[in-house]
This record gives sequence, C-alpha cells and structure tokens, in this order.
Amino acid sequence: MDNTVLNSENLSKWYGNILGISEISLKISPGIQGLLGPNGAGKSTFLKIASGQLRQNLGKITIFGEEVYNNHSLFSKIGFCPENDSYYKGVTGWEFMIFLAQLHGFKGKKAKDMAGDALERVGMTENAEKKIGAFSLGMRQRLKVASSIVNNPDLLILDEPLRGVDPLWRVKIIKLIREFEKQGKTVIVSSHILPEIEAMTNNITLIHQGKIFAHGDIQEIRGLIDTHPHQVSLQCDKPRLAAEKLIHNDFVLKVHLDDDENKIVVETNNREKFFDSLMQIIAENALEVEEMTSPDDNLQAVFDYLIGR
Amino acid sequence: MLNGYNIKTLFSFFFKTGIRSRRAKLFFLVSLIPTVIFVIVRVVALMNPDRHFSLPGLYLQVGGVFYFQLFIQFLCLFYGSAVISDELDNKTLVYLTTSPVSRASILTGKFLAHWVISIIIIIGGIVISFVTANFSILLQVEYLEKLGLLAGVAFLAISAYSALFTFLGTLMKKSILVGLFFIFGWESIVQFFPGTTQKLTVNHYIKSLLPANLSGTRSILSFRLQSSPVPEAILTLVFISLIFLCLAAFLFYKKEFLLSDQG
Repeated sequence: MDNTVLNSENLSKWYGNILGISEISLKISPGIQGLLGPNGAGKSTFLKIASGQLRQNLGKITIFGEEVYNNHSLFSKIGFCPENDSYYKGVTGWEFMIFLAQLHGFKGKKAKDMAGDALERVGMTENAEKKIGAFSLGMRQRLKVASSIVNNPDLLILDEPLRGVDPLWRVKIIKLIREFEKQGKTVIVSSHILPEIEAMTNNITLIHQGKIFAHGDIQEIRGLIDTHPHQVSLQCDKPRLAAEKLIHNDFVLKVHLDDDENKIVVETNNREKFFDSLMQIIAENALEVEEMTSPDDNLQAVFDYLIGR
Repeated sequence: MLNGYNIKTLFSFFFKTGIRSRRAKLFFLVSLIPTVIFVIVRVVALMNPDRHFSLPGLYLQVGGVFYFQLFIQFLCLFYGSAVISDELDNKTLVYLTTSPVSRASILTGKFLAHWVISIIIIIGGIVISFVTANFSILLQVEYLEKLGLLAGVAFLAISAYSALFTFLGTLMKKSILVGLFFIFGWESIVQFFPGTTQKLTVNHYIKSLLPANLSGTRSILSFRLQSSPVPEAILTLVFISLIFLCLAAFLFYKKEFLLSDQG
C-alpha cells in the first residue's frame, strides 16, 4: 500500500532570475524526514511550497493526495513552524496560541485545552501570560514549535526548529518530534546543522543549490562516497615510518606528515584496503598508536564530500 | 469561501491588539486636535466677552477640513494598507496562511477589525469636537441632526478609503508612499477641477454629502464643488467600498507573497 504523505514531482521555483529549487522529486512517508543543506540551499523554499506559502513554477506537489497551494482546508492536518523569528508583538503567548487554536476550528474550552497542551509540551506554560515581545529568542522559538503542534497535525513541517533553543530544550524538542514519529505521523524537519538532524533521524535528503544531492538512509548515502577520498589521521611514535610504508600503496592518494605532533593525515580512495594495510603496518613495525581518527567520519563529511567542499 | 467563525476569530484578535496599540492611542490623540482648538477658542471667548466667536461656524472651517479633507484619508491609509502589509513586514502572514482559513476570510476579518478601529477613532473625535464646539446649542434638534449627518458621512468615507487602501496594501509593498501621493496629489488637486473630472476622486462624493454651509458662510470644502446628487454619492461610496474590498480579497487569494529571506 502506498503510504506517501508528501509527493513532489520535478518541483521547481525561481525568484525572478534566482533559482530557488530545481526539479525536486521526493516521496515522503510517515516518520521523520530530515532536510539538510547550507543556508540558501533551497530547503526553506521547498518547505514554503509544501506549506502552501509559495506556488511552484514547475512540477507538482501533493500532500495526503491533495494539491497544496490555496487549499486551505488541507491545513487542518498540517502544522508548520516557520524559519523566521516572527511574532505578534503586542499579544501574550497564551492569546497567540488561543488565536491559532481557534483558527484551526477549535472552540471554547477545547481551544484552551489545545493551546494549553501545546504550550505545556514546549515548557511555556509559566511564561504564557507574558507578552511575546518580552520573550527570549529561545522562548519565541519554543512558542513557534508550540504554534505548529496546536492542532495535533498529521504532518508536521519544521523549518530550523532548534535555532536559538538552549541545549536542554533541544533535547526535549527532539524527543517531542520523535513522539510524533511514534504516533505514526510524519515530520519534515530542516536544518543546516548536521548533528541536529542526526539526533532525530537517519532518513535524510541533502539539498544544495536547489537540487537534491542525495536522499535516503544515512548509511546508504555513506555508500555513495566510497569512491571519494577519505581522510584518516594517525598519531603514533613513528609517524615518518608509517608514512613511508603507506605512500607506496595505490589506494593512498596523499600523506601529510606533521612531525611536531607525531601525526600523519592520509587521504585514501579505498577505506577497506587502507585499514587492512594500516593494521598490518602497525603490527609489523610495532607502532605505538596514540590516536587514530577519521576527521570526516560523520555526517558532516558525507555532506561536505557530496557538495564538493 | 467566507466563514463566520473564522472572521469573528480574526476580527476579535486584530481588534483587541489594534485598539490597545500605540498607533491607535496616537491617532486618537491626533483626532482630538480640533477639540483642543475649540477649547482654546472657548477660553479666549470667556476672557473676551465683548468679542463675538461663532464656534459652530468655526466647526466646519476647522473640524470639517481636518476630518474630511485630511484625517480620514490619512488614518484609513495607515489602517487600510496595514491589513496585509503589517503581516508582511512582521513576517506573521505565515501563521494565517498555514491555518485552515480561506484567504478571503483572513482579509475580511482583519479588514473589519481595522475598519471598526478607524470608525471609533474618527467618529469619536468628530463627536467630541462637535460637542465642544456646539456645547451651548447641542440640545437643539437641528444640531443633533448635523452631528448625525457628519457621523454618517464619516462612516461612508472611512469605508471607501479603508477598502481602497486595503487593496493598495495588498497590491504593493510601498503602499504608504503611493497612498500619500494619492491623498495629497490626486485627491487634493483633482477635486477642485471644474466639470466632471472631480468625480474621479473619492473626496468629491464625500463633499457632496456634507452640508455645504453649517455656519451660514461658504465653506472651503465646497469651493468649486459641483455636487453629485445625494443618492449617487452614497451609492458611489458604497460601490467603491465593496468593489475595492472584493478586489483586495481576490488579489490576496491570487497573489504569492514573498518574504524577504528565501532559503
């Protein structure tokens, strides 16, 4: 059974002569989908089209099988947390949340309950009676997250939801996002900070210059970089000897020797062969290894390789 | 397309936030300028009992020009264009357009809130200044009728200008600048052109409804006015209100609003 929640086909958007996104085709199913990319990559443009704020120039996008733009009734099932630090200055957090709950069709006590529940989930109950203008950036960000969940949506779209949030609340918001996943709902979350996404999901889409660079599980994406150079840093008692032994291998592209720190940084295009060989060299030459790290053995590396940094 | 509950929700929120804003308080103080002038004139009259001051006569010269030639247009420009432009400037439009509310309801609810705030400020100012100027003869039916007439004309003028400037604010970003040019350029000049050209201004129809002579002397407002019949003036102002409100709603439905930072 096709359980696609969001389906975009060749979605393109321009701002005059400037490309926003180009031919983005994506199918998103229940679960957490991370959108990664540097600032200006096109993540927000995609999310703005998905949330009906912008209209695509080309292509098609459907959510729950329905067209998005100017389809206001669809938004009873969607929650959106915008990227901008935008708020109504003269109102309290409580007034704002009640207003949003009412816009989602909740009346009287139900509206108050929905607003109260959303505020509680982001820890804003105590500050709800204060004017939003008096909130810190982190509090405003939490209020935005609350605004996106006030209708208990089936699809939650979060554009940089952790920006400005303190570490404690980052963890709590990530937990909240995962709760949505556990309920069988769909969350699309964007960030330009890789560890943030990594903490939420393995299912990512890399966007750069308006195009999808890679899409899928982080492990699958990692497979894509096997042919790309990979760096390994080795700190040992005989770095010059280790460098001499390694440089003759055809899978070693480059060796940088740092005598001062007893360290070498090796660039290889075959990690498997490299590590086999390295283990052999260490054993045969009785090298005392103090530290071996792979500076790019994280999501950032995948990202950097794929966008060609 | 229009949903009563949603319009009521939007109206309540924007009326409450709008009426307690600094902007509303400032505009209300400005609306009392004629009142301050009349109080000063009353004090001067008390100090100089031998000189004759005709406050009711002064009302049209000062109050008439202030409210109907300047303040209504200016206030409606700010409140009308702010219906959408405030949302764009503060980037809060996203909260409205990502809710399950039609764009027509969003525009109507917020327009009504700003329209009622404008009515309270302007008609409040007119009533207070009228009472101050005509205090001694206030209970005469003739003067109460005049007050009712002024309030009625103000009501129609606020409706027409609010709708016009709401449309302008939905159409363009620099609506205040264009609106000021419209008020102080087009409306101020063309209304004094002879012939039918003056019918191309909103002000022509407002002046056609105003009593040309409240004080017994010709007013500056009726200078070169070739009045339209009262029914025509009323219908035209109602038509302007409705047509521009509908155009604004249509434009808001069709238009894509780009916020400044696209990522």
